[in-house]
Amino acid sequence: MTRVLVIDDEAPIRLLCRVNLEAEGMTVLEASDGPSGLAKAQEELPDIVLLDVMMPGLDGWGVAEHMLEGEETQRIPIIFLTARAEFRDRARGLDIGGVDYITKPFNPVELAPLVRGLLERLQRGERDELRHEKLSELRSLMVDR
Amino acid sequence: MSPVDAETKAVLFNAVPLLLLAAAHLTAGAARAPGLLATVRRRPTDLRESAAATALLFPSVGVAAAILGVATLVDREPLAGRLWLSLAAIVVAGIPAVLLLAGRVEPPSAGASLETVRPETATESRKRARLERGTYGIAAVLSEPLSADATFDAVAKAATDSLEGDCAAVLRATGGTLELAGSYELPDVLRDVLSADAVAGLAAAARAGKLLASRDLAGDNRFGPGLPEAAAGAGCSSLLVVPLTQPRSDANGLVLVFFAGRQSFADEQLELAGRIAGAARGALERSDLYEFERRARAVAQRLASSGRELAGELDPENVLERLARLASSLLAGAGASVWVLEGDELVVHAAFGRGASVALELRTPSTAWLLGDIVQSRSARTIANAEGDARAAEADPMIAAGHLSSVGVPMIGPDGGVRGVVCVYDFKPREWRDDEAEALLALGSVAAAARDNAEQYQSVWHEQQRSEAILENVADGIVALDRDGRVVLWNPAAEHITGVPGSDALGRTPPQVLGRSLESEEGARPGVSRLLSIRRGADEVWLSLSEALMTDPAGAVAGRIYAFRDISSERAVEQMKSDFVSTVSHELRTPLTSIYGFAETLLRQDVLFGEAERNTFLRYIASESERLTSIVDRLLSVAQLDTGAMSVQVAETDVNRVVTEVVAALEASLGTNGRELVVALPDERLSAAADGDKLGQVLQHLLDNAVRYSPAGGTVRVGARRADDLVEVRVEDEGVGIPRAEQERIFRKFYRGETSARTVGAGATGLGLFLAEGLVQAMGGRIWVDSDEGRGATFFVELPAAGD
Repeated sequence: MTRVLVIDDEAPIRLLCRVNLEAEGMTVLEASDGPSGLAKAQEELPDIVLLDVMMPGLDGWGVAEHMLEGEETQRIPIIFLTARAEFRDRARGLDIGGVDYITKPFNPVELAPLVRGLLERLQRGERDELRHEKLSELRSLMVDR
Repeated sequence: MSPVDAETKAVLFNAVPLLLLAAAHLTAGAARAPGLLATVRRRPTDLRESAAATALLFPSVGVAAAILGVATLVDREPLAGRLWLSLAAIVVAGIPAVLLLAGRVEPPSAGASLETVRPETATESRKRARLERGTYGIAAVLSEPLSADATFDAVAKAATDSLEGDCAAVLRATGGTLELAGSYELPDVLRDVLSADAVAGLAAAARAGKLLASRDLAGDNRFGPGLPEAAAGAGCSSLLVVPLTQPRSDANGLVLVFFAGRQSFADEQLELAGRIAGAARGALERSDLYEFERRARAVAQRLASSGRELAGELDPENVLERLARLASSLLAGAGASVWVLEGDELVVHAAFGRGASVALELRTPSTAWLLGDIVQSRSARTIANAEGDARAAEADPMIAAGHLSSVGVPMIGPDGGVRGVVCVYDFKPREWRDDEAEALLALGSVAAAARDNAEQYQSVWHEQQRSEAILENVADGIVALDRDGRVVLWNPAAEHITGVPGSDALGRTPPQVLGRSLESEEGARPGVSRLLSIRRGADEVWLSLSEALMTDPAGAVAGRIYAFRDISSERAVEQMKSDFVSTVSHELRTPLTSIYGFAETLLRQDVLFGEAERNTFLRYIASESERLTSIVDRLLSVAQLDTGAMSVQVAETDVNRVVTEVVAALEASLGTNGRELVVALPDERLSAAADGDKLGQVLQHLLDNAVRYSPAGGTVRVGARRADDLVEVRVEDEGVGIPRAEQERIFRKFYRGETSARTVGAGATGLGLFLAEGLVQAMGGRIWVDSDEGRGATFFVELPAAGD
């Protein structure tokens, strides 16, 4: 069973993620701030992390950087989940090792298929391809600007 | 007595007169001997002089006569023998005299000769001797001196000596009057009389050019009372007045020789007097030449030093000030004035001496007599004596002020144009010489050139001052580099912006000074500024910089000029705005995500949610919608504050009720996130003159902040109290506090505390406190914070009390 860790300081957002992912048969872990989220990631070693960027205290970037430093946590794929829709934030997310980037507001119904699809590709060993895809997506955005 | 024979009688008759003649001559010779010896001792060569030779003839003739007489007595020769003897005697007496006169032999101490000499010759010789001696004395005395003053004194001495007088004075004709120029042994009483006023009769004597002799001065009425009285006081009885021709002058001077005793003037004395005049003229001409040379040299020196002094003066008006002083000193005058041609007027720009203050700034037409003439004719005009000259006094204020003589020359500039007039004055009448006028003209030209230079310098200086003032005060940093890239200009704004003092920057290159080049990689484009950042200490400073190239006539780069502004603060504002936009975007997106997300979730067909779950979803949709509304309200309020469109409805408001409602709403929205809210309100009713809704908004902001910045498990205290005629509401948290430096800034729009970004991250728009302050002030109240870093913060809102 797929275990998803949701780290977000907004209770309604966590709830949204949980009901929709559980509806698809996934197990959802929750954390309401950066430090507890990081601790949970290290303890539970979930299959994937949905990580909010703007949180008081340790923000999403910090959590991701800490996870990259941990031997066990660095392989956990991260999907950034944030209201910060700017180009540079997306680029930063990918730089830090995120595999995808979801901008709020998002349709929670699409969360589970997205998570599932990503995990399947990663299992097929397409992590690098995935990154290249996202980077070229960004590049095309950049050209549009 | 025995009868004498005829022959004896004849011998006696012939010999006795001869012996008598011999005795007379020998006596005369003996009498002359001391004088002769004295003459010989003093000047042996002078024995050639006829006077000395004459003296020697006496003994010679005496000896010759004695030889003849004795020969006649002793030797009764026949007539033929006596004739031979006579011839011999004549030869003895005559040859030495002739030889002596021809200067061939030294005089014999005594000689024997025979000759007959007329007794009258002695008197004439004496006179001639006196004349010759006097003439010689004159020549000797006058050969020595060089300067005019010494020469005049020498003339007085020569006249005294040669005329055997007791004292003498020389008067020089100048400017129509006679002035005491030299003297010898002159008693003070006479000096005073001759120095003071004109003595009657002397001017006429000088004009006539005739010798005047006064044997009895006391009884002589030609000279008025002053001179005879003074002479009597000095013990002088006689006066000889000799006219003196002066070189380069039509007027005569006078030599006055005074005698102690009453003097019967002998012819030779009068003739000597004439010779004195001649000799004095020669000496004066020589000294005049000497004086001219000396003056020319002195004037040249003074001109040179004046030129240097004037050339060093950088203020045009000071040039003229100095010119006035230098001109006066150049000609040893008593004052000077400098007139500058302004249009068709001459205006006194500088003056020195008596009347200077009156003369300053006076104007006269450039065509007027005297000064105008100088301008029109471009040549000098002199006044030797302005005594009683009303026209001169009217033309020149300096003459009106009491100067008696003046010389004025045009001031001619380097381009040949007349710039004005320079005049020099003297208190006494004075004949201005041509060389003086020429020297003044030269000084005037030097001054005109110096003034032109000073004016140019001043205009350049002013230009420079203007440029410097602009560079000093312009807000943009201006930096100029020379062709080697070294800083030659670094204005104060550049110092301020870069933090590098000009003294450190000059002579170095921007990479040395700033750690980076200012040069554009793509080459300078005029009018296009670019952004670049430099370090100022620990700070990064952003510059908007434009660059201009200076090229030399050959087209090569001669230097670069950079102008830059510090746009760090603009960038900071931009950054704040950008942060605000992303914050607002986040603030809006968060509730929107919940609303949209729960709606989509509820719409899921594949999942069946229970009643409780559906209610939770719907409550979130409702509360998040409310949150969205309040955010939009807040933005609208800010816009209203910005445009001044904020309106408050001040009425009696129950503060306790407002506080209770806001706290309840906060708790209802689950917004406390685990912080404890402690409310302390008085039992009595607290009425403030306020807008209840706005006060509610303010308290909501403060509580939101307090909750946001409090650590989990912390306590937020809300209280209210009455203080005199004020109502005070306070919100206290246990958060990180606000550093003192930030306490004033937190009320600014978009400002988010340094710590808020770290600790809060999202959520804070930087508008809450700005809005709170705006609302409180609109209600006539006051808001402030009391905080120490790390020890929480307490916000106070103070409003006027109402009711009662």
